Amino acid sequence: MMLASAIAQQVTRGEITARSVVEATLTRIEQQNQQLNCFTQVLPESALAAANMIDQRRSQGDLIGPLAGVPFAVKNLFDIAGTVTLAGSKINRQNSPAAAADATAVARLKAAGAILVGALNMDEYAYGFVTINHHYGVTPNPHDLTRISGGSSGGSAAAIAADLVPLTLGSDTNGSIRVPASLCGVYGFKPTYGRLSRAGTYLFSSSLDHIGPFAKSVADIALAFDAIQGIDPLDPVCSDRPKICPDLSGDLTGLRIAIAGDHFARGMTPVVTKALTTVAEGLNATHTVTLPESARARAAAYIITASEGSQLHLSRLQTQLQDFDPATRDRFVAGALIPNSWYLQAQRFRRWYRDQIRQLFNTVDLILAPTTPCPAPLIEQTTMELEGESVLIRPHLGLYTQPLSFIGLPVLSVPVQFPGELPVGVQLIAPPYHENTIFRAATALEKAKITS
Amino acid sequence: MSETNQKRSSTEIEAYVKHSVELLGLSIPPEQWVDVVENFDRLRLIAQPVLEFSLPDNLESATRFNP
Repeated sequence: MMLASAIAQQVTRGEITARSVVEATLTRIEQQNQQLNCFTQVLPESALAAANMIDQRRSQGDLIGPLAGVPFAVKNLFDIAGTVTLAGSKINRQNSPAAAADATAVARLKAAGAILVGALNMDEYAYGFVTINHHYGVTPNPHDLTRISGGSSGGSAAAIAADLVPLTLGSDTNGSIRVPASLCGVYGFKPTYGRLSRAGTYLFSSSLDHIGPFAKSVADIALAFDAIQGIDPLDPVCSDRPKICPDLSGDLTGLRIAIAGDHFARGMTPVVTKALTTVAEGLNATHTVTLPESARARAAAYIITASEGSQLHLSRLQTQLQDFDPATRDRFVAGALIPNSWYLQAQRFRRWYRDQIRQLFNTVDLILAPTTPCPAPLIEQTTMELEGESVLIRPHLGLYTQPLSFIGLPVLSVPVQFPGELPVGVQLIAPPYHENTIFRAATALEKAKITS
Repeated sequence: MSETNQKRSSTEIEAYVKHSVELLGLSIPPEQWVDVVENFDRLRLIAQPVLEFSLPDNLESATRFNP
């Protein structure tokens, strides 16, 4: 599978047609999806029609966009006009009308010439890190089908890892882009909270919800980010900051780069330590900084997520409890019972933690941390041994991601894979709205072939 | 926490869950009851360090509302 940027260049130059790209993509999906279970819906007719349109416009000399002919797919919580937005649930399939319009991010990718080919599997209502869905099945890890792909955007990460499509979208509330990106060995980007419009996505916890792309190169991530960024009055938290031009120079001059210590330096397996060390050496990062009270930040993110997510679903918990996935059902019920004072304290703590990290970013431009504490666990595995202690795998996968999305920092998980090992991710963390610092560092790592 | 406190706490948690579930109009089948209580207790334990953290009275949460 070619990279998105290569497809767009070749389609634009007339070296290949968008139709041939989409036909090959649909064939791959048809041949492999039964085993990989990434797609919950494939849209061959509209995809081929869109490809024909791109080819026709190119032949007329029209501008066809920076993502011309690039097939893409989205986590099934993004609205696709004319289809029901499942958000991984049976309840939505039964009760919801078809979406009247595409989500803003989908519409903007299409406007840039990309071609939507389908919707992807996820944990029900995005409440999970595993993509083991009671209604739509498990999405296994393409590197080892006995292991999980991570979640909740597991279909989005696995579809990239398996070369079914070169570009996908997912959402991230506590790590749901970065965790599957790490376990599947692909790039997963969660820009600053509010930077990319969430309009037309089925939210989970509005205070923490982000969207972002998955791809196999930094340039592809940047292309998708660039196509989607910009003001959107349909999303009340969407930023009105000016757009940025992604900097793929790989220039590290003047960047102060540090490794996250304390909370982010404990509880990982040796291969994760090795990946972090390799990335740090590649960026000449030697000193460590402390993000204070990060364990507490993770806890507060947990409370906000459970409270907001459960309130969103309260009416359905009252009337359709048995239609929920058993993996989310009891957690949603428990979250609905959270006292208001717990929630408000967590929200006030969020402000406190944000202020601490803002101060820290006066002394450093980029921080490195592991994405997940381990490579992909086995599908049936429930616990793992870490530093002599048995821990529950499902919640533990968000150990290093939750404190960061809690305060909306932009983070890219970059893939690292050693021979004979499963891939893992390393997080590149920048101050709010400094996505270009991340692009510069990620490009440098990619050029040095440290990331794969 | 002593064993006695844990037991008392467990009883209190079950009572809280029972009353809150009723207040919210939720109907939990008996076979799911243990899991709901366990999940709520897990949330309670997660919340403790956040609740114990002292914040100044003038620190507002960063909610965003544009009238």
